[in-house]
Amino acid sequence: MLFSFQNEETKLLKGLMAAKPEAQQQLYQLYSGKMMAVCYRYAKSREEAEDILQEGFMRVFRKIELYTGTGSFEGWLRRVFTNVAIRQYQKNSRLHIVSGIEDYEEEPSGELLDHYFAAEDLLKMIQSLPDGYRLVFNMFAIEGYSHEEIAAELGISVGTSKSQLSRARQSLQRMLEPQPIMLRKGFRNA
Amino acid sequence: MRKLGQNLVDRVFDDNLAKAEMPVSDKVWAGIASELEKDGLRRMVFWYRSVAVASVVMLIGLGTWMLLWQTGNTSSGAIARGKSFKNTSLEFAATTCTTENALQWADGQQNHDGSASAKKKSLATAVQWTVRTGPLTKLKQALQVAPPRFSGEHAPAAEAYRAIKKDIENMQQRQPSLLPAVSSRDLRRPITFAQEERGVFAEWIAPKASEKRQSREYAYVIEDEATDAKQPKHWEIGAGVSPDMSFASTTPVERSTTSYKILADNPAEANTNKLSPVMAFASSLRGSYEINDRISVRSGLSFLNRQSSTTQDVNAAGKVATYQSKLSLSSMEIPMSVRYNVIRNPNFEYFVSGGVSGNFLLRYDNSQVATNGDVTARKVSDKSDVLRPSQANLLVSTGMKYRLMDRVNLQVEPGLRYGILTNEYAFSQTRPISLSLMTGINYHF
Repeated sequence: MLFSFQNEETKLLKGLMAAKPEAQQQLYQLYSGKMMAVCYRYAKSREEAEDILQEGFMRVFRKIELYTGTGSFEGWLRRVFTNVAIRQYQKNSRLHIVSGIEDYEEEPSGELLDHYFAAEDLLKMIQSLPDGYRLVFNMFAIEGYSHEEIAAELGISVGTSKSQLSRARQSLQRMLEPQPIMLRKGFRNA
Repeated sequence: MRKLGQNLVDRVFDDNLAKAEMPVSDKVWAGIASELEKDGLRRMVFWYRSVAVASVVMLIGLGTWMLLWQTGNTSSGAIARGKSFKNTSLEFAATTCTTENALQWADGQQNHDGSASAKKKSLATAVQWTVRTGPLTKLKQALQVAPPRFSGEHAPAAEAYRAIKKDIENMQQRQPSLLPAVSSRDLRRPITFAQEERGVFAEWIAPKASEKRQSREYAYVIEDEATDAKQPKHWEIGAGVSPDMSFASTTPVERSTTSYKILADNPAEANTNKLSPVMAFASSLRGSYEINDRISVRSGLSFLNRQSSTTQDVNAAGKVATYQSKLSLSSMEIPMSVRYNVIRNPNFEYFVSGGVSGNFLLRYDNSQVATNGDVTARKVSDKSDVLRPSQANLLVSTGMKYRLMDRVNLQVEPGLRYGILTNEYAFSQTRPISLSLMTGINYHF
């Protein structure tokens, strides 16, 4: 099964390298949903997320040769879309992240894990965060960037990255604690 | 199960969002498809530009090389192509004669202009000949001064002596004024001879050679193409196909891309319309008449067809509207041009050409459909509203012809067309420029 999947992926990559339209469409069909969720986390609106998505796919199609085959293809895709989202964000609104004193983090209750949260509502929570919080939280908590990487990527200090993350967590924790949110139609977890 | 060391809030979001998917609207793929189409077009434009530039550079280089080659070899220009005389110490005489006084020998005396010839004879055709004669001291010098057509495969081997002798005798009988009256005794050994369609070359033992040291003489006689005033004029017909790439085009017949019009309540948006080159293909029939050796007039009939389909997002009044546009355009072109042969020999011609052409619209259909959004767009399909029925152009081209068979040539001709009429309905006033690479076959009578 794994062998078959790898064959399919190799075939898809060859098609992408050759800029074959059917391969490009297949890639879009396979990953547009997942990448849309990535873009949506960084965007302020659905329209902006779709702009990032379009730009991201164009970058993938134009720069597919940069994928060296080391690491998962999906992981590489997520990196590309994340980078596009960050660039788009920096281009559209000048990013001003003010450095602050590192906040004290209170460990939230473990009961949070017992609740089921709808992806759409979690995304809305992220979107309600100020720009700096949202960006740093996404990069650290979900994409797995380190503070050093975030600092280098956004041109801020490591301390500022930590501070933004801490405040984002506090805000999100307050939103999560009052009551669990039910699953809504239109979103699914793979 | 909690990941080691991971913050609980992070964990909630990571678990629920890391692999989440969201539905995507159709217009994203429409936008990507449109971008990909433009990418493909850019690659095609680059390729055709490269081919066109390479063709022109190749033709110019080839033409220059052939000109230099020809100039460096002979002052006559019409004879002895491809052989340099600079490396030989031979002294030779060159005389342009008519068949009335062509190379004749009377009793062993050379008489190139026929003034003292007692055996002047006429040939059936009145053409001019260039005759070169001179002494030879070494056999290979004959090849040094001979045109290439007399060397290589045309140079006879020594074993073919008897056949050569026969040929010489036949030639003397057929065209006695063109060959010396050399006795068969003198023709016996060191002799080379070759005959081609338009000339002969012969080498013989000099009739007045001393007893101690024999010397040889040679002559070659070539029909002088440059002074062939009575050569019949040539008609030529041909057919070909050409890719046609149009740039900066806003005029009707050469409109290069679909465009839309925003109604007057949002006129500024009209300026966001972008023009991009659109590929077309042309097929043509052409004919030419040769006024003289260098100049021909040409005309013909060419049919051109452009097809394109694009999707564009228009951001107007804060809303995005997506338009799908389809263009289908056919036109007929009648060119009139003058061609000048820079280089001409039996197998190859290099030429430049200039002229004018008229384009006439045959069919035009440009429909646009707004698939979403509130911006009102006008369907542009009425050619009387948007397009002129005709257009004038200036034409410039360069090309080469290569002989494939006796009367059949392969012609490759990169060209440039420049529109001299602008369209009053156009958004901008740029003039259309298009590049073509006409490739076809010609037949001359």
